Amino acid sequence: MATIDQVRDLILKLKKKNITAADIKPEARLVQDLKLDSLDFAELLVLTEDALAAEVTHDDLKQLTTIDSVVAFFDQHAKK
Amino acid sequence: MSRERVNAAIVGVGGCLPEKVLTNEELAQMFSVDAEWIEQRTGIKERRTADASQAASDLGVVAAERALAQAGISASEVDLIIVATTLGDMQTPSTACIIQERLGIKNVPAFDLSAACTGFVYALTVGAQFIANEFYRTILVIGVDLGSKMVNWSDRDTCILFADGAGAVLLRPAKPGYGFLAMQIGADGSGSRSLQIPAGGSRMPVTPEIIEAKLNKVCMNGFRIFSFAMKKIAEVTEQALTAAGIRKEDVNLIIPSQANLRIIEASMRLLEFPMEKVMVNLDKYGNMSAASIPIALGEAVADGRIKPGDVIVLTGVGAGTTWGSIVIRWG
Repeated sequence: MATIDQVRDLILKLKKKNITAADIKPEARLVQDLKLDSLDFAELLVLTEDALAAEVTHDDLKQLTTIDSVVAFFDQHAKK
Repeated sequence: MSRERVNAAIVGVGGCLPEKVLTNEELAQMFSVDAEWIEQRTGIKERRTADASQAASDLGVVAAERALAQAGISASEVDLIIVATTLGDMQTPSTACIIQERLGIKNVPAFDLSAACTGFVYALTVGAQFIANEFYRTILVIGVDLGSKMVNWSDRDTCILFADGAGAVLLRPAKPGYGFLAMQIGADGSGSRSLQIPAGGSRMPVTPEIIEAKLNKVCMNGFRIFSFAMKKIAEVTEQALTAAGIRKEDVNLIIPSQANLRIIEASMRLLEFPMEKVMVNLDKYGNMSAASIPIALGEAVADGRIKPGDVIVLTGVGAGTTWGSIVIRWG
């Protein structure tokens, strides 16, 4: 599965009413476009840790601003 | 021939809520927060708050009397009292001793137990050991917390969450195959700074400066607690079910800590368990910490959501950090 598809599945797991698969484009901004709040980010952290079997720090999370950046984070950690 | 382990069973449950209702609209006016924002963020619509004269034992005694009445057990039959609470009546003696006197019970052991929102699950686990080794036959377990007296009323992140209540149960030996099938409890002290009341103990005595800085009130890192709670509710529930040899599909009802609806929903997504089989009443009562699970249990029983033979799971997570889960075959 391509990383973008993996990230799309993960964002859809948040079950946000306003987000459809089509909204999860590489350039989509997590806060401004997808309207994720801090509790969504807390859930995203847990789901990402589960998916990558790696610890995600608060600093890591700050770098995740767009879908593209989440994809890059996944790629970076998948290689390890 | 070895004997079968004696399980503990819950044979009576009772709750007590203060009369005063505090709605999101009132909070919105009082603290410049938005009523819809509170509900969207927490799932809470209103909560109960004690009046200035009410302490933990006042609610705990009423909950205990109701549990005794439901069980048809007289106070004189109680062998042990355990009270799970974060902020008892006073530093010492224990609230359990105060409740013992007010129930007219003489000489039986009574102690408090501190595990925040996991307190009730911890207390049940402790009580069940005395049943298992046949040391005691009738155990009163109370969960009581008055969140309104613990929060900093200028900190909107906590004042919208925590609320007041008490719940109580009576434990007795179960018939074979029933009662507590498995219990899992745990703690991770490295998370102790995520949710704490820093002052008021021996580390930081209360002074006028401490009161001014509100360090004698709840201080919470909501982000850390959310991710911990979500992950741990799913994890410890799964562990307890595995230990009990019960499949998720065979669980009739999960009663989790009523901390925040979004935590419950996120943890159930992680557990892959349907919300239709999850007890939620925090919309009416907020997070009553150690009292949340027994009050939710009492409502579930009263509403007919739990029938004899059902498998239910009580799962708590809280400050410490602490967690615990108990799988029960009801009846």
